[in-house]
Parts: sequence; C-alpha cells; structure tokens
Amino acid sequence: MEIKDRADDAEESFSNSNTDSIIQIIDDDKIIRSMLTKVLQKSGYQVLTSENGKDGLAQYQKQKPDLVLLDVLMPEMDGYEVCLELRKLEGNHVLPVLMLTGLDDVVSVSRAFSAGATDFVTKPINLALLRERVKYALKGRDMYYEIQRQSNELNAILYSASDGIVTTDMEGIVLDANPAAEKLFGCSKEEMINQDFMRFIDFTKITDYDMGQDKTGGIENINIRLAGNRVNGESFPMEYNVNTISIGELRIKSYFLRDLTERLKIERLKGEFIQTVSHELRTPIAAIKGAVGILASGILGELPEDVQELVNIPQKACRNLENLVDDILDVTTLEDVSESVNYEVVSLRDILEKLISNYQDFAADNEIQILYENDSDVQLNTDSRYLYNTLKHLMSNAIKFSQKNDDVRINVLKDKDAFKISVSDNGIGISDNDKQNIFNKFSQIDNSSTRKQGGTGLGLYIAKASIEKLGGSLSVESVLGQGSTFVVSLAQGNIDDVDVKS
Amino acid sequence: MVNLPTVDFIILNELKDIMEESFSEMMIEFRDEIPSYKSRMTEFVTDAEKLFTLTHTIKSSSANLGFVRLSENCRKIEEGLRIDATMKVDSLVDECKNELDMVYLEIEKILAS
Repeated sequence: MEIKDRADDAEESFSNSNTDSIIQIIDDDKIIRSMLTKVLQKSGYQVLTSENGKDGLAQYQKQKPDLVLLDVLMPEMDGYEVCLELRKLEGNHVLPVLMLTGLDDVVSVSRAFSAGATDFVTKPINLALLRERVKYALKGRDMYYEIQRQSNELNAILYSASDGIVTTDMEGIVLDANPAAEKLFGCSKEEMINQDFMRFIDFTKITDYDMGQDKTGGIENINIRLAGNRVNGESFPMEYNVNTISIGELRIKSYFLRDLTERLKIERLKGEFIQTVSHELRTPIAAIKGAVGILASGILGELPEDVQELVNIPQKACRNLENLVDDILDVTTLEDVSESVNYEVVSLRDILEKLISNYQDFAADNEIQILYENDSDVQLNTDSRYLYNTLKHLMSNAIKFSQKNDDVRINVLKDKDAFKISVSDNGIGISDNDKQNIFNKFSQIDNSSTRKQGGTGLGLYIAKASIEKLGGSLSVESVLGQGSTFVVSLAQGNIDDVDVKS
Repeated sequence: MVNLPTVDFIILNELKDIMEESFSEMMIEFRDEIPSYKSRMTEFVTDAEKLFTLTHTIKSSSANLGFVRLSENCRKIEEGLRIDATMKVDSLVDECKNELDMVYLEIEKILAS
C-alpha cells in the first residue's frame, strides 16, 4: 500500500499567499517602519508597529501577530533580547521572526540565530526580496501547523481505536503501539518498542489464515488467526491483519490486532446450542419416519392409491429434515476451530466403494448408473470422515442433477504430488455466473429443475470446507446444459500409492 | 574614494515601483524628519553612544531611499565611533548636516516633478 507523504499535501494547499496574516514591525526607525508598513499592506497583510522592544513585546502579547520583523540595533532593549523574550512567550518556537540588521558580519548573524531568529534581512532592505521571505516564512509556519493538526488527528484515532495497532519496521522490530495494543499484551508501549514483535505472537497456534495479493503478485495483506503472548506468559486467542505500507522510501508493517477470547466463547456456545437442538430434532424425526414407514409398507393393510400418495409426503419431508440436520451438524463441526483433524492411513478404494454402496439405492431410484474404475488402490494419510463428507455431497448432487438412464463417473488420477478424485455427470451443468456462488452457504441455483430436487443449499459449502480442512481443494468444470465435473484435489507428499491387482 | 551622488536614481525608482502611490508619502515623511535629524546631530556630537545610534538609523533609512551619499557619511561616523568612541567627529557631523540639506532639496525636486 502506497501512502502519499503528508508534507506534499500540505505544501499543495499552501501554495497561495496567506495574506490574512498579521505582521508586526519592531524598529526604532520611523522611516523604516513606515516603508515596510506600506510595502506589506500593499501585499495584503495587516501590519502592527512598535518603536521599541518593550512596547513591541506588550503589543505581541495582546495581538498575537503571525510574523515579526525585528530590528537589531535599538536603544534600551536590542533585537537579540527581544527575540529571546518572544521565544519564551511563545512557547512552541514556531513564530517566524525575521531580524532586520545593518550588520552582516558573521558574529552578528550567528548571534541573531542563537537568539532564535528564523531568518535575517540586511539593510538596506531589498523590499521585493523581503516580501518573498515573509511569504515563505508564513507558508512554512502554516505547513507546520497543518502537519501537526493531521498528526494530532491521527494520534487521536490510534489512541481511541479498540483494535490494537502496532507498527514495525521490515525486520519486525516494534516502532509504536497504541493503548489497545498495550492492554492486549499487558505491557506499556515502552516495553514493546525496539522489541521483536514475534515475541508477542504464537505461530504454533495458527487456526486460519488468508493472504491478499497486491497487483504485482507480492503478498501484502495477511489476515491470521492464532494466539498472542501476554507479557505475563499467558496465551490468548488472537487474530491480526498485517499490511505492508510504503511511504516514499520508508516501508513499515502495520498490524491490527484483536483478542478473540470473547468471540470464540460465543461461537462455542452457539455451536453447542445448534448441536444440541439438532440432536434433539432427530428423535421426533425418527418417530415420524418410523410411524409413516410402517403405514407405507402396507403391513397394517394395503393403502388406497390416494392415501399412498399422501403418505409419501411426510416420508420425503423426513428424508429432507434428516439431511438438513446432518448438514447443520456438519457445518457446526467444520466451523468449530477446536474440532481437530485425525489423520490415519486409509484406502481410497474402500472409501469410494462405501460411497457407491451407500448411494446405490438413491441412484437406482433416479435410474442412474454409477461408474467407477478401480484398477489400483491408493493409501491416503487423511481424516476419512471429512473426505467422505466431501465425496458424498458431490455424489448426491451428481445423481440429483442427471437425466434418467444417464451415468455418474468417478475417476482417480495422480498429478505430480496430488491425487485428483473427479465426480462427473452429464446433467444440467452450471453457468459461469453461478460458478461464483455455488460454494456459498444456502446457495441454490434458482430454476425449476433444481427446486424440484430439494436440498439444503449447504452441500457444496460442506464439501469444499471439508476438503479444505484436510489442506485440499475443490474445483468445478462445467458447461450449462452439458454436465459438470467436480474435482477434489488432495496433496499427498509422503504417501506411496500401492498397486493392488483387482 | 568614489564620489557618490546625493541620489541614486536606480534605487529611488525601484522604490517608487514598489511603493506606488505611497512613494510621495515616504519622501515627505523623510523630508520632514530632516530638521530633527540635524538638531539631534548637533546635540549628540559629544555623546558617542547617542550619535552612533542616530547615524546608524539614518544610514539604514537613507540607503533604502537611495540617498547614498548621506548613508555613506553616516556610515563613516558610525565606523569611526565603533573603533574609537572618543574620536572627534565634528567635521564628519558637519558634512552629514550639509548632505541632509542637499537631500532636502532633492526631495523637493522629486516631489515637484
């Protein structure tokens, strides 16, 4: 991220003369006072004059001019003394004081600057040059105030932000931290500055991350969920967003930090609630399914055709409810960051054969054939629950959206270090527009044939999230009206595939 | 030593350009100060400090207005007193007062034109 140097902005806004300023002239020479007054008034300034240092100081305190032209050689109080007093009065040393002097020797000039003069102007005064010097001195002062104002504004924002904000150099050494960051880590800003910021971060506890790239492909914006280390040794769940910022030649990293303790607690409670409710729902669903099933079977007596049709309704509804409860439980499990992945060596062929066996009836009902070439087996080091979840939703969709008498094909390919499992159909396909949204929660392509199929809208979301939990990916190739191929990709760097003769 | 004119018209005209209509006012103001300058010079001839300050002042303003010979005269007194405060400056002061009269006349001419 590039940020324009604020000084450039301030310079631009002050390129015009600031002629509503007040100039004070302190000089014992009446002619000089008169001449300078006339020249400056012509340039649009308001002018105050005093003929000696004492009066000049009193006038300054009363009127607070924006710039002072000060003669050096004056009786009683000379210009150096007046300048020193002005600096004491002013406090912040920003008042431009231009000393007018007929003395241009090195000692006098040096003395002028030591007394706090901003600039010196030799007599006889070049009036045109004086005008420019006054203008420039006022511009400088105004720019200073503007930068100060912007700085104060920024500090106010940083100070009051509820997110912790920490800036570091490119080596990760802390440059600054706001009060929220101090609270987060349980220490003062001073204890953080010049420390390696990595001391405060626990990278062994990363649970989620997201990297955004800039136009050139360099990674600039990173969002990470992990744990933070408080100074007292306590660990806490934290997320941060880090940005690399370039300001001219300067490059810094800016971290926005948030304590997730409360939020995770709420998420856990929510998850527990949903799980409990979902489990509770299963009981009445089972009861309805059971009772209706008995009726439909004809054990209690043959049902008339119109009654049979009626009975199909709750049967189908129960199936849908069961699927919905299963899907909701899957989603809750996937979103529970404390839920771990259990890796074990499993046979891919076993998983696929179980999948096909479980969906044989569903496929048959829809007059679909499932084709799978199983000439070689692959041993995978993975969590079979998540992998099965992914594949089952792909299978279910493929069957639902195919035409009667069509087939669904499963293939396994090894591509460098990854295994690709594809589930293909010749069904209705997916438009390019819809491809953007199909993996979102509750997304269902809105047309009559898909609505007829029912479903929860969570299937593909679950499929993708499940495989991503294993470090894999899910992609789709599809042409509207011609069918779809969903490809599950799983990298397996440390597995040998075993050829088993069928 | 370079013989300086009473008025350096280059400086004067530059001043006139910048001051515009206020130029005449400036000339009148300086002209009206001349009698006071002369009487103070007479009064301070034996007071080195006061004379120094007075000539320093006149030196600056006259230089700015283009009255270069007057400025140079004042500078000589100032310089002399800086080196030796007891220096006798009577003749230099007289020269200065004469020059003040010359400047008075020049201003009248300028204002009349």
